Amino acid sequence: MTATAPAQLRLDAGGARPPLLEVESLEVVLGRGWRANKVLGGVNLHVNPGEIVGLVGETGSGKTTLARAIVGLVKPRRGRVLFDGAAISGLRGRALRAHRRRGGVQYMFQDPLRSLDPDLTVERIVGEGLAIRGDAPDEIRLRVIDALAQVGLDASLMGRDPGQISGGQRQRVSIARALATGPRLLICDEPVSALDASNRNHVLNLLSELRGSLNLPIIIISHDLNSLAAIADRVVVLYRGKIVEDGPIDKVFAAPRHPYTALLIASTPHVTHGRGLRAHQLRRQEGDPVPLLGPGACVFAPRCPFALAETCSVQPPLTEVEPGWSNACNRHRDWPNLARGRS
Amino acid sequence: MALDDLLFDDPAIAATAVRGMPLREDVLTIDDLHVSVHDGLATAVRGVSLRVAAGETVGLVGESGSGKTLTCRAALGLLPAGCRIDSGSVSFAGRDVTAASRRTWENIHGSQVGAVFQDPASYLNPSLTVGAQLAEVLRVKGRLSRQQARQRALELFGDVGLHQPERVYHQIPAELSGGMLQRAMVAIAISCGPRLLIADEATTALDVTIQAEVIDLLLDLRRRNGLAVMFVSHDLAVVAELCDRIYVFYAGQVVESGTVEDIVRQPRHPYTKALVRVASGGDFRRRHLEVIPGSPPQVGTNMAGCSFADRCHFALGHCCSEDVRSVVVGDQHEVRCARANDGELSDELLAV
Repeated sequence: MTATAPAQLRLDAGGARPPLLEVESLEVVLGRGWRANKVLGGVNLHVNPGEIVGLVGETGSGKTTLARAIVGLVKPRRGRVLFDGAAISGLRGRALRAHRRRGGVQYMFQDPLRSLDPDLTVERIVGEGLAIRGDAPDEIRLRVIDALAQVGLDASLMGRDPGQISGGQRQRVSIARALATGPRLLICDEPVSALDASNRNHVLNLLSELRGSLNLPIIIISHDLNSLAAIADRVVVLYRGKIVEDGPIDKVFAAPRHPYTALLIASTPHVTHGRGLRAHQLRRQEGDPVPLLGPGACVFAPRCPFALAETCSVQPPLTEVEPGWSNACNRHRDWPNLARGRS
Repeated sequence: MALDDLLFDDPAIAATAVRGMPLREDVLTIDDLHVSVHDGLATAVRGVSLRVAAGETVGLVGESGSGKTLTCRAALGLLPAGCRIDSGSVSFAGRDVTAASRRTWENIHGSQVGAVFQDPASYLNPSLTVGAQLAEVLRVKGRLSRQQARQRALELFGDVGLHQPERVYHQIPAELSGGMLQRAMVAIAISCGPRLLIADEATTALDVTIQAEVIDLLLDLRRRNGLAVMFVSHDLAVVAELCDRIYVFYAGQVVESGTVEDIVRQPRHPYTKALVRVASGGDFRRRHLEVIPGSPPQVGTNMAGCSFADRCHFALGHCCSEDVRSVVVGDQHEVRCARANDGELSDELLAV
């Protein structure tokens, strides 16, 4: 498909719907000179209409940078971001401003206590994007009430400021703020990490309902894999700036093909234990051979108990192992058996 | 599950203990503790009793504002300004320390009880090396010489699973990752050989992979050194991974306590049941996520009867009027519910 053809045309022409968002070999370097740090090394990602994609990985894996690059808060060194078929990563000046004011892509920041302006009322916070866009005040008010209703908040909250509402409510105000402009893609950065289990479930259910009622595709950055599995369709696992696994969340979590995905799953705390692999079977232990690996080796190899110098000295590309499920491990056929054999 | 297996792993413990009996002496006993906040305007901890036996791992779980953190602060003699113990007692190994002087607490800290908190970086001096900060503790509290303190510090760093102790010794906190810092904090906390480690949300800010490693470290320390751990968290799943027994906090009271099995498989309090249902189960399925409707009462709200009654699916008329007492329902299992002996309720809780 060509990147320049309008999405509508392609929709009508073919049966399969094109992805709404495409990220092509995105490379981001933060810092300059000796501080330069390659945070993303050639990331490919797509999001289809109406799909919830979970983005997981540990601190420093580049999840937030990827999300920020998608909305244009970080400039990529290489690669492109296509939204609805049009490249938005190269937009500058007036074109960029116009794209932002349309509010097609909305970003929900981490930690609402710090990302919501403490001096503004809930009404101003939710309506800010509309005001910048130049909408009429009474129209803004109606849309704010509408957006608050969509997240299950009462309009009586509009006069409060963020410090006067509970953590769960603050998180829902953040969602309402993102919904007010009528986005076509929502990116949520750690929407539940600051919440207790009940509020976490409440917010995730809400996101799932919004996907249903608005057919809104959502990217959720989270480290809570278990609750993510309840609502997401696809999971993308990031490790040190590389996507190591990308596939349907139920299949990936049932039988991960990358040892890092498996480690994440095994490390998730549970009230009851499953029969899957345990975390210590996937961690490097004393006595495990340490392969000599140069630069360019698999990003996970330094932590991987299954890394071999012969197979893992080159970072494997993300390869489709079955339709819709790709993985970047050279030993994806061997390691599950090896892991089960470890004490 | 784990309690018996883990405890009886150690032949020395197994030989001296009889199954079902109180295993060993308590390292920490809290009896009917009341803590007031805002200079006595409100009571945030309302009659908490708990005990931690030697070598035992005990979890305190509850929502924010349930009084679990204040309880553990009181147990450390570190209540914030404006908070006070109104009544009740805290004792370490049978010695009452409720009204202990500052000097007495200084002797208790480190040698009887160590503590780790959520944000390790804020408890360390950012401009001194981690090694120097551990060695300082060892020299002042452990009265070791400079040389001995250094040796011991390196051993301790090794014990908590820091792979290159020599290197870590000379690094400042900013050069270490969150997981490494938390390990270093554990090393400092156990450096003077305490019998109890209090961990308040110690793994909350860590990545899941690192959190699992720190949990394994605490289990390992318990196995090797017989260290008792009191682990405070809002996440029942984490507590269930680590602990032998659990105390469930709600609105400043312990509403249920028991072994992990009791709490997770046979909860007798509707709040515990709700917590289990919202926590992460062992399966990664697509499902509707459960929530607990309503929100916990504000600290200081005057409540007649059960504090959970207004959110409780099973509340009856008398729940809101009578004071609810703790009832023993099993070997180590206690529940504070007006319908605790109501067979109908326990059947319902087991069924759903």
